[in-house]
Amino acid sequence: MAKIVYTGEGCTGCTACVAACMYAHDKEFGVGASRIWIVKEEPVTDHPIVCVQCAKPPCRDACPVGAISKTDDFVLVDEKLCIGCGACVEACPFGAIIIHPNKKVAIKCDLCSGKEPQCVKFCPPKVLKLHTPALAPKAKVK
Amino acid sequence: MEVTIKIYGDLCKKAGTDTIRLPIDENDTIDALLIRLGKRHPVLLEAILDPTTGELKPYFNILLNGHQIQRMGGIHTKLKHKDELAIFPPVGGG
Amino acid sequence: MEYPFGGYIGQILRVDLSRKKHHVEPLPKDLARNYLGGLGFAARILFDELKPKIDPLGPENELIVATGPLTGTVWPTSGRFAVAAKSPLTGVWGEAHCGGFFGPMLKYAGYDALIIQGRSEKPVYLWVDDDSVEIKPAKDIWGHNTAETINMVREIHDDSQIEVLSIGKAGENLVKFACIINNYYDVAGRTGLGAVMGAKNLKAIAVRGTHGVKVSNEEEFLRLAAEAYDCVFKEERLDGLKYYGTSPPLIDMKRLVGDLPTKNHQTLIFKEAEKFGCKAVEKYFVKSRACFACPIRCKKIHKIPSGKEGLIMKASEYESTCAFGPNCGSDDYRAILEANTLCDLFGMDTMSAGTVVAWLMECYEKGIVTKKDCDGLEMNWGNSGAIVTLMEKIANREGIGNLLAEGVYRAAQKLGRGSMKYAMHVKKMEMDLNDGRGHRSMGLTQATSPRGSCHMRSLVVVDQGFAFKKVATERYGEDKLPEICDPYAEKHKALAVKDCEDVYAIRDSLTMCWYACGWPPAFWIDDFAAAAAATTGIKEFGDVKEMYLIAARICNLRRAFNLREGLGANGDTLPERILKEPIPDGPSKGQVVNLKVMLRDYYELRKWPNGKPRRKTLVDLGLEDVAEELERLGRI
Repeated sequence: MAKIVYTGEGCTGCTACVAACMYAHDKEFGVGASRIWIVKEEPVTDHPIVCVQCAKPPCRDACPVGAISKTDDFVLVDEKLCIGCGACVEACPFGAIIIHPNKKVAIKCDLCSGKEPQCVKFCPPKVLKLHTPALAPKAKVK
Repeated sequence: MEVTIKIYGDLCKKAGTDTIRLPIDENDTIDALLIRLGKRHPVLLEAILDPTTGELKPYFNILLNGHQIQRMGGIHTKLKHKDELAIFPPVGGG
Repeated sequence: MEYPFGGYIGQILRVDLSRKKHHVEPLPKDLARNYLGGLGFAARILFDELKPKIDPLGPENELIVATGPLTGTVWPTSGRFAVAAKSPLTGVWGEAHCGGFFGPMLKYAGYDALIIQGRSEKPVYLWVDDDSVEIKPAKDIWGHNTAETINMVREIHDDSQIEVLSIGKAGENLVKFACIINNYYDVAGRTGLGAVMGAKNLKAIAVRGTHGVKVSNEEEFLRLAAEAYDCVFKEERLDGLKYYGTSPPLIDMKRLVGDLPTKNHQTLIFKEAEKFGCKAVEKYFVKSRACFACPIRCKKIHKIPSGKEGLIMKASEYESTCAFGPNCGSDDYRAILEANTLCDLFGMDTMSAGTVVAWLMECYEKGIVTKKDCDGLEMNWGNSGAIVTLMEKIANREGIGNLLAEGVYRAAQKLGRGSMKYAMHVKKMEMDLNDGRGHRSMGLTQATSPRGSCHMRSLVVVDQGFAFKKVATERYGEDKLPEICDPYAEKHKALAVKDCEDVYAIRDSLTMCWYACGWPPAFWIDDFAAAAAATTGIKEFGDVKEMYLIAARICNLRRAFNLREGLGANGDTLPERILKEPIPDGPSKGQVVNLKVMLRDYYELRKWPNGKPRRKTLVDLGLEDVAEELERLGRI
């Protein structure tokens, strides 16, 4: 599973990723309907939160209408099926899935649908990376 | 005879030090000193000097005893014993 | 897109605290087209809606919070906003600009600008949640410092992402140089706008926005923005800011070239300042933080050795470091950070606070005040404990703090005893930590800035310390060398000051940060023009000549605002010390500022004979109504 990862240090809390993400999906710059957000704790913590594309996604399991599924590449919300109940939001341990404030459906990182992830592109200190399966340690199956 | 060169800002990372003492001869100029400096600290020199013109890159500057060398003879300014040079990365404002 | 121009939302939120009402009005297309945004909007609205001679602390004053078309987009350094009102400190034009995150959030909530009118009977805060706007009681947050206020508001509304403007005790107690805080330490600092909020009983403005900002020409905008991001770090031009912040590199440079205000501008050399230079502060570095979408990340967090844990504080910016350091004769870095932090918490301008303390120290040195006068504090140069103690006294208007809270001009007026000689101010605003005797163009900048002594309105870099000859040649022509790059020459400085004043008026209207176009310039007016055109779709914005026209319009409007209050050439001065006392030592030894000749050149370039715009100048800028009003009042 590919996913967006934070390298662990160097985030400056600028939220360029947040605005770029919303732009990539809704064609407007904002922070209220983004699929990545920054936890800030004064004075030193800035930490990006974004879907880690769980192997056993609690959001999928919580969804009462089966709107969330797993492809080979990532965990995906079918906006047409979603009823905006928020069960997935409650279930996610990371806070990485939210209900779009205006569209009223669940939204989460979709890796920019296979195109260049915009959060990675716009991050000024370059601390967000697209982690692809080729780079992950492979579990050996006997 | 010698002069002291102080390196400021992140340039001292390129020099590996913030203070360099170099010997000079009578009538040595700043550009001759820079050539000697470049032999010991090539990374620093590469950062501040334009290789095609041999002049300082536009935003880097050198102070001689607190005065801009541009107000003297630029990099052709003559040096004397105990002069203090400061090599500075771009800075301005208030 | 609803609004015909990109970047803008197309709505202004007007709040009347007296009547407890609010309404949304459309952003007039003319206002956008002719005044761009941010500073431009504030200048036009305040000139139109304020009458001359109103009390800045009265209900007739208006507080404007304004964004520009680029605010909230990912254009680097655009995440800012302008705040303006009639200043209680100076009695004339007041403006301050700020980074952080409030500006973008205001636009995401659906507003290009906020106009606050009237005065609330009881302490309140404004809660703007997209199109829901409420004036809420603030009795639980009144009295709290700005950090507590921001946290409490976020807790009340159960959302850690809300952006909040807050005043602290200083604003509540109407300290004349109280400021407005956003994001804990991003500050709309100068001219006492925090006192304007305090006088209106407005403790905070909280905003949450779920909408977004659209741009007109998306492909062009994204292409230019990507280029802009790369440009910021081209040739390592802004590495100093990235690694050290705004203060250490400037402290190093100004210390060496003899341009570091020391002991109330008695001199410009302070050896001990090496303690706050790049090398010395490196060991305190914890991390960098940034304003909205900014790649420069100039804000630093420092950890000072103290006890077992150490003390983590935000590192002070250059002006604040110098204000509480060299200009008070202090080399105590920890005390500087403490005083700076207290100013953030109490909501007070550091430059004014530091300068008024330096005045007191000089009065003490000269025997004008005694230890008893100073509540038992020994106001020797370098007494860093006293500096820190005074911050709280000023914010609470306690003892000597009550005198200092009036600002250096009124304090000196009240004290008398010849203390006005040491009051370093222009137009009643305390000096910023720069000095024309070490950096000649600065003298003209400080004298002509409409809000009083201020470096930001037209700071010229080409004659500072190093002389960016290449930039000077490109902008002004080789024939202006060498004088235009000479830190001690008056010749040609007016040309550079006027040019920068115009470019920065655009910067403050778009809104962009000083570090985008400062040292050295990552962008200049041609980049601003291209960005504005791509964002808004207004083709004319892409023409640099049009940008200069808008800039001149805004600069003339600010001038007109002051003239209407009775302030013209009589305010374009510098303290006697800067004009008459030669620097005693260092590379700037012997220097004074010959302001007259620079001022003459500046008035000529501006077409302001004797400091007053000619009718024709105003009419040519589309300011005929302004000309008529000034003529009617006998001001021009």
